[in-house]
Amino acid sequence: MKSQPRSIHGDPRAQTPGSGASWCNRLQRRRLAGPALGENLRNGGASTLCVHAGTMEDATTGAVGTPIFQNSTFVLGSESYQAVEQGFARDRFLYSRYGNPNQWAVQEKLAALEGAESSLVFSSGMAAIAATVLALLEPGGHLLTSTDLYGGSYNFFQEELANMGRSVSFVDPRKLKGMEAAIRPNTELIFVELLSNPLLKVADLPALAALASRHRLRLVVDATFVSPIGCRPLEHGADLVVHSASKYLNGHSDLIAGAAIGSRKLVDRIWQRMLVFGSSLDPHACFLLERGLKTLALRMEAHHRNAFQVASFLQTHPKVRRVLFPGLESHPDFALAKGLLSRVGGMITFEIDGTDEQALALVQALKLPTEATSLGGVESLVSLPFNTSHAAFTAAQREAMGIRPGCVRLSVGIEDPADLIGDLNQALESALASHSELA
Amino acid sequence: MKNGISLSGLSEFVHEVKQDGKEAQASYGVQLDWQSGTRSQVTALAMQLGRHRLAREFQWTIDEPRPLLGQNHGPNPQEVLLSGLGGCLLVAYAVGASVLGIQLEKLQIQVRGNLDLRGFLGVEEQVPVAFQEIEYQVHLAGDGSREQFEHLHRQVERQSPNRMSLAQGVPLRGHLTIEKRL
Repeated sequence: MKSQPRSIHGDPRAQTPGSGASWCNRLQRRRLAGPALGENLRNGGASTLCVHAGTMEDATTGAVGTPIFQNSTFVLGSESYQAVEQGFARDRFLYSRYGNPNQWAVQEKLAALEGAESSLVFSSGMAAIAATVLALLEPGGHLLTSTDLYGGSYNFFQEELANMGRSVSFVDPRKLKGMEAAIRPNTELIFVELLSNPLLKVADLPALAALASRHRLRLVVDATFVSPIGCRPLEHGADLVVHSASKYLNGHSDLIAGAAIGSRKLVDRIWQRMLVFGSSLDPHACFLLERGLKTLALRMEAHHRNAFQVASFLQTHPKVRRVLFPGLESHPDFALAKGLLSRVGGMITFEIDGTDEQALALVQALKLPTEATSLGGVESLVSLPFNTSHAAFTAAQREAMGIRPGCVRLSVGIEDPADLIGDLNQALESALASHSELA
Repeated sequence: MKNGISLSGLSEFVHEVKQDGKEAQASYGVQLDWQSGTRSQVTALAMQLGRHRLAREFQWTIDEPRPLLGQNHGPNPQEVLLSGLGGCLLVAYAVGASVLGIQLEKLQIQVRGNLDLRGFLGVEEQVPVAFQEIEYQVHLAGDGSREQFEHLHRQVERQSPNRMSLAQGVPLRGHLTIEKRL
């Protein structure tokens, strides 16, 4: 979109409600997608949207790509004061906690990729989840979520929500009858991960959306492990998608960010929470995220291809007890994944034929995948759920979730798959051989 | 935001329900549990707004004053009824003033009603059980003109749901369930 020098600092399409009307029915402002600096690209293939959607081209300089607006504040004028007085501050540039061109550019790219009206970026994935859940769950409200959950989300729901006057139930989202039985008169929200962490169970979005609609609930889907290249949850009935953008969306393990994406109506409600919690994303981080997103489709293709090859190798290895990759027929949710996900992504969970200590030895023997928490970067990362993402749970709780000893989580990067397979092979031999010597 | 109300949010909601009347459907409920004597604990039930539920975390107590055989732990049912009328009127004045572009400085409403308790007690057949009359006095101050305030007053008379419900009456049905003794 081309921008012209203008006196309005913000979305040029934004209408005033028309103060001075005789009653409510005469008000003029309608909800529009965005906010944006012009009509944004919404149609096209995923790679085209990755490269072009949301880009803010600066007419004054002719710079290609969105410049970095590393400013905290903006010149105010009568337009800005009017926006504050009439309640459409989200459509104007006032202060970078409220909105900034770099936030808008990356938000528009994310909205286009998810097929949504609006999106918001946050200073972390947890900031996105906290603002979203607190915006959609009233005090006294009840949240229905999964037993199989990222530790950070589990901690927030289990340890913090009660102090904020909200209650929560953890149920298996694949057991719809149990899920339905857990719905209370004050249940407002279902929150699930599209691909669960670390067992990569697939959430049956169409079934969950039907359940939510039947009971007048909203459905929020954390699609961090899949990205919009693999699935657009809004098209399957979700009300909102949240992401830890630190993972696949950015893809380079060099920033912390989050996103919430959906209808303008709901994202506006979340924006109000983001404002008071102060969890906005810095303009420079927005620039990095926007740049990372340009290669999202390419990267996801490579992650998926590599992960398929690595998972196929692991599946045939005698020292590997179990491989969980929804792209393999051996995964319990293979059929569901095939129908719902166009790309499974690069996450593999596997169990070695050994203990957590041997799994740690394996991780330390690997030369290419880095021993680090997080996922979704161009480099392969490997970690053990028992001492990272699921350290907040007891061993018995982990066992009940299906996380058995020797469980390894591998985020397959975009390296050459032959190198990754060779490295895994030598590490498996050395880690499991040393154990038998000790025994 | 003028008067603490987002006129843009209001305008967007108006246009949303012009497109989709389902989003304007609101269902309310309260539950009263007898505590002792004339005292009840009121719990707001989950609302339904449009296609979605809205949890309501509110409880309050209703009681009668001591001369009317209560323990005076809370406002009486008549005061709760009058405040339900007054609260609804107040919303309409605040919203209407914002729509008109008036910055309010004062908005105060007094609601008064008279009952002849001989009606409730059944001691005099000619005496009506209902309120004989309900009256309210609105005090407004702000940067609007006299014409604007009078227009606002007339609009609120036409648009306040609780006012209209009391003024016109609504079908009211009570059902009885006799439960097993504890």
